[in-house]
Amino acid sequence: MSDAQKQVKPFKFPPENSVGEPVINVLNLSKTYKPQIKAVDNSSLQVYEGEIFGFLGPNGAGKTTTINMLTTLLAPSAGTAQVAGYDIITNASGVRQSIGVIQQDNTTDKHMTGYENLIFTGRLQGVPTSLAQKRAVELLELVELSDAAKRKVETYSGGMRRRLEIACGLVNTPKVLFLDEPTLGLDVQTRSAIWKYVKSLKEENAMTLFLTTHYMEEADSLCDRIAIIDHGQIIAVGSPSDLKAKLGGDVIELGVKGKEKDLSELILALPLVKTVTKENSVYRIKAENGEEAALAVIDKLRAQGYFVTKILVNKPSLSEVYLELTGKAFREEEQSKSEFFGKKMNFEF
Amino acid sequence: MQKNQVQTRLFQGFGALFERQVKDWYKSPVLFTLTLIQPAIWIILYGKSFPLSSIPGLTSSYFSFLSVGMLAFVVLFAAVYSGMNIVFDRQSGFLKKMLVTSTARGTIVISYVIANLFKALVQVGILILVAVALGMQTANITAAGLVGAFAAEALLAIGLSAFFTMVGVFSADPNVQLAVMSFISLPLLFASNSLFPTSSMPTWLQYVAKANPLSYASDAARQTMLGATGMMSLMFDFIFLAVFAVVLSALSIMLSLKLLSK
Repeated sequence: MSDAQKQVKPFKFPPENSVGEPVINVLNLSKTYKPQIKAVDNSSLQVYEGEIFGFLGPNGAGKTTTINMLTTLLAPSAGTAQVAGYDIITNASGVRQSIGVIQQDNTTDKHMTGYENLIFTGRLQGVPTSLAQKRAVELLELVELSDAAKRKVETYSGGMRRRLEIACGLVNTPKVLFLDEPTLGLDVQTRSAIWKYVKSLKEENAMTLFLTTHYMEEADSLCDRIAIIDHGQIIAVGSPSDLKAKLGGDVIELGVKGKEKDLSELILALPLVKTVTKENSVYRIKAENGEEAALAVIDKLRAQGYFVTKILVNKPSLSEVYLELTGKAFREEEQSKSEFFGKKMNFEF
Repeated sequence: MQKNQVQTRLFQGFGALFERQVKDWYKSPVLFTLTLIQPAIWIILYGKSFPLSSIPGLTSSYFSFLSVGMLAFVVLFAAVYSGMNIVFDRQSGFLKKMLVTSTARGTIVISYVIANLFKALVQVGILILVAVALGMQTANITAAGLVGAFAAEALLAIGLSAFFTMVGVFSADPNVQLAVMSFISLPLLFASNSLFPTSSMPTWLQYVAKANPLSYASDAARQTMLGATGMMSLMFDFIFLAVFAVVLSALSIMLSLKLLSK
């Protein structure tokens, strides 16, 4: 049970390890609306090149206000930010040239075809027409809309429109792409398709992505780092695994035949195990790596001649972290709690 | 690592924005036809149906007088609807999309005004053809006169479009825009010399009409196209219209920019 093994995995993009300047550097940014409503309250934040950065928070927490300020749609009340090296206040035009924005609403023109929308957006971004035409063809391919390129957007389905929206955000080959809930209200297939594009963009173009979403499992699997904002203040920043580790690791529930003997000491001796508590006949084990620890526990107990009747690995999810920090969700009833929090793996013996 | 100030190409995106608006108009057959038919119906209804030839202060037939006055009416209604476009674009999220591109905000506002100017002048041209076909007096029409008439209507169109675009930026709600449209448009039309000469109006209305830019556009167009005796000198008409166009454009564009970057 050495300390080294209990160490949390390091950040994927630790600020102290990063070389160079952040691509997005938010400095004491605030937005106050008239009657002293602080939509964003003195927030600071750094996002580094090539990161997928998730910005999470309850409705009204200040996510969209922050994105609107970073994309120069809103002027900050105090503080500032640099995006791609340009100041959002003094050099808004530079910012707009360097970014792509995928907004919550559908902003494509439904009277134009998909192809025309891309050319139009390209022209607004100052992309030369010949280049815009080339990009349009490539992007329609990327988002799998080549077949619908010559159709008017009014004939598109919701998912197709979202995909076109993403293509439009990319027409100027931005350094930073902002996505404000790009998968809101979409079916599972479209959501996974959209995240597939997002991942490929990151890998191929070293683009930095700044996104908001309400789907915790998406943020968990996709984002390198996450910031959680509530009441206009950033309350946590870190990689999903780091944030989850702060909750104390995975929980294993274990049932053993023969209730009389306390096996806690035996289990605690295993390397990955952090704590063991016994409630009636069930042991609750907190461990670093749930699946591995569970197998080690089973092996150990079997070797000692004990019969494991039940084992359950509960990995803390980002939702749990989120609820722990924001504490706003309507609490579910007991029976659906397990479903609502975290993934469970159930082995019955 | 502050980078240098970025200057976007002058009028970047203007062509794209202008094209989009004009296409939306002429590619919608209903919209396009109605905007052309409406004033033609008015000149037929008022100019041909009512025996209004005995109105004092007329130096031409009432039909000719009204036909030229209708040009200002066409410009007014085109401008009123121009504000609606920006309201719809805001509702559909399209405005937001434009605002996050590197196209300058001034260019966005100006594109609405210029696209509307273009639509208004096309309608003015078609109305002149319809009026001539229906018997408008053509004896005094010269090329220079036509240019003068178009110039007067263009100045009116710029000022009014800038104003209604600003109202459109201001009123996020289409209902507000519609209320402003109907509140302003008809009184502005009737309190001008577009339908009747000022000399036939009660004195108080004459003062109103003389402050109304529609009167000056109609007055200038009648002098250049019909050789009519003007309410004011042609020079004064043009100065009034130019000042109106410049002041309203400057004011509206400045206010729009401020509203767009809250």
